[in-house]
Amino acid sequence: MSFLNMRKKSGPAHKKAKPGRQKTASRRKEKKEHTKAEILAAALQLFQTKGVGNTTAKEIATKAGIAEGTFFNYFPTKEDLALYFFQKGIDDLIQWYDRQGSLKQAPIEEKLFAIIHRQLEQLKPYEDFIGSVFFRSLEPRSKLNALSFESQENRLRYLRFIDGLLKEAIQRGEIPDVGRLGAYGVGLFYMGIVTFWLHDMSHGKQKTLALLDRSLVVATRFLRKGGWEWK
Amino acid sequence: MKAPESNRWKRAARMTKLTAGVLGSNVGYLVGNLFTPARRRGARRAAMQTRNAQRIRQELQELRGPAMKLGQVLSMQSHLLDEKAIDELANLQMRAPPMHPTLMRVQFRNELGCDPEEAFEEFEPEPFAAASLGQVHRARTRDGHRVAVKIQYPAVREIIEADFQTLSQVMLPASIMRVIPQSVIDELRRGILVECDYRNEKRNIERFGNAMKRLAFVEIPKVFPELCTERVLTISFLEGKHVDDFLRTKPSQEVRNRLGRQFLELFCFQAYEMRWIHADPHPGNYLLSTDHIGMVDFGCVKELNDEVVQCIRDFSLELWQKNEGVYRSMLKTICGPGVSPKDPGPRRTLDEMIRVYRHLYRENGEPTDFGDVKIFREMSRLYKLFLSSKFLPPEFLFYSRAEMGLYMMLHRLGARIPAYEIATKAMASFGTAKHIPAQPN
Repeated sequence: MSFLNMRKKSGPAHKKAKPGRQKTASRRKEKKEHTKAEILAAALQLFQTKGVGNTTAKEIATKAGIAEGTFFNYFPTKEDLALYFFQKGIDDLIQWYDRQGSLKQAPIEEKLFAIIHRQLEQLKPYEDFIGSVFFRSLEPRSKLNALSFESQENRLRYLRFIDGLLKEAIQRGEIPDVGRLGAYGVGLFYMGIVTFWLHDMSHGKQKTLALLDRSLVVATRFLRKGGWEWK
Repeated sequence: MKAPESNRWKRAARMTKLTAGVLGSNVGYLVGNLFTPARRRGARRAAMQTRNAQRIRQELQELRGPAMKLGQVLSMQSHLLDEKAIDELANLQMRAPPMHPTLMRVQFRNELGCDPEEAFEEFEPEPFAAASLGQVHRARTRDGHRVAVKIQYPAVREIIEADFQTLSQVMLPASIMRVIPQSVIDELRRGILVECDYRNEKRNIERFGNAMKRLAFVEIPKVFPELCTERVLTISFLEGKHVDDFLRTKPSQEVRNRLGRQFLELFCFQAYEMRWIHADPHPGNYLLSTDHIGMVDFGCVKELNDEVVQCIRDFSLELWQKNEGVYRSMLKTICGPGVSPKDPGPRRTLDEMIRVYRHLYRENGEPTDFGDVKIFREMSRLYKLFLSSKFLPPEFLFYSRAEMGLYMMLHRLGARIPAYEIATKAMASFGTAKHIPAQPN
């Protein structure tokens, strides 16, 4: 099975609960999800107003209307909170793309531009927060590390989504078959763009826009011209 | 010693590549290539120049914006390249790769806070023209006016600054300095940076629109201020064709002469009456029809001060040849106070210039054939001579750019017009009015 197509295994069949209990369980899960979202919203608001460094877990809990202990049940570390933030971001991104009309007919470089730009727009209000977690993620033992166990799920969802787009483009004859390298390449490129974006002090992050646009055009042209041997 | 020369070039080129900014702009390197073949001799030179120019054009186009602008400027330095190469470079502005709709919308939204489709009644997502720093879309306003909407490419200002840094750090000390003095490069930089803010252009359009009401054959667009920002400019849409497209319609000699006369009058009006000059005389900035001229792209205009206008007048009327006082004041304006009137250099240059001008502006009433390649070449040579003067004040740079642009246009039109008669008449009737003040803003 391909690495990209790997899905999260569902629980073993024999553990299936009885219908009545299942209902309670799903309601409980829903509530849990709701609380998590509330905590994230509260945290992001505080990050924006006070800055990441000045925000305590207690303040987040109070704002979300829960006990401090409950907060740690959900998010043992700030990194877990960040992982959840990224998960929400990918949900939003995929839903957003589904709603797009004319973009689906656009060439692949425009699609990737739109998607990455959308991601940056998501991050924009929380630049401070992203900056602090981004550099922590470079630490090998961090949960946010691209190779960490915890970040795999987010990462794979994103890669699968991008892989789908690239496959479409390959089918339409826009680019040659780049295999899995394509999606990985886009993933790494995105991380590079975020780093640049964090450092971009130009008005309205104009430099990031220019870099994003030009590099995608150059990369796709390179692919179209055959690049080097991919397989 | 030949080898060190080529090594030096290679080294300069390599260094430039290394210092090129993070945005991938390597204009210094490209410019280096542009100048290198000018040193070669023989028949291979022209072919190489054209091939180089094509490649440079392609690469400059890819970079968009400021580098293209530089390409245009270089295309004006016609002494460095042959005619075909000039064509290649001069066309840069019209053939830039467009921003895709997504990027265009991002830029528009950043400026006006909404999508173009919300701001206008109708909006064409495909650009119909590329401007040097942006692209132009057709649209219709809510109250039904047909407009052209210019949207700037991302990070233009930042890229220009990086480009010029590369230019002055690496390339210039090596060899270009001999061709273009630093003061000229600085002035170009300043001028191009001013162009990055479309609000300046908006003011310029208003200024020219007011002044040009006196010339019936000139059309200046109208601005829509509520749809203008630093990176978006909305102006009324002008009809007309670019000169090459216009010539494809096979206009008669009479029409071409009429347009030629109008171009010359337009130039004199700017120099002597308005004392503001449209300093980007790129052929793409004029829209022609059989009886009038539409002017677009007012990003680069330049005010001429009184001394400069006086100096140009004195030069054309040849007063300096008889009157030593006039010569001294001219010399002071052109070369600054540091040059002695006894220095034979400047006088020799001016003598040579006036000889060419006499050929161009014939007093005997005979029409000048601007289509003649010989005349054009002579003017290009003169332009080079003028530009290579180390003391050239920036006003003259822009004036001579505009003037060279005028001759290039007359050359393309193949106009046969009594230039002397037109110019002297214009000089007599214009320039009586007081200086036209800037629009308060």
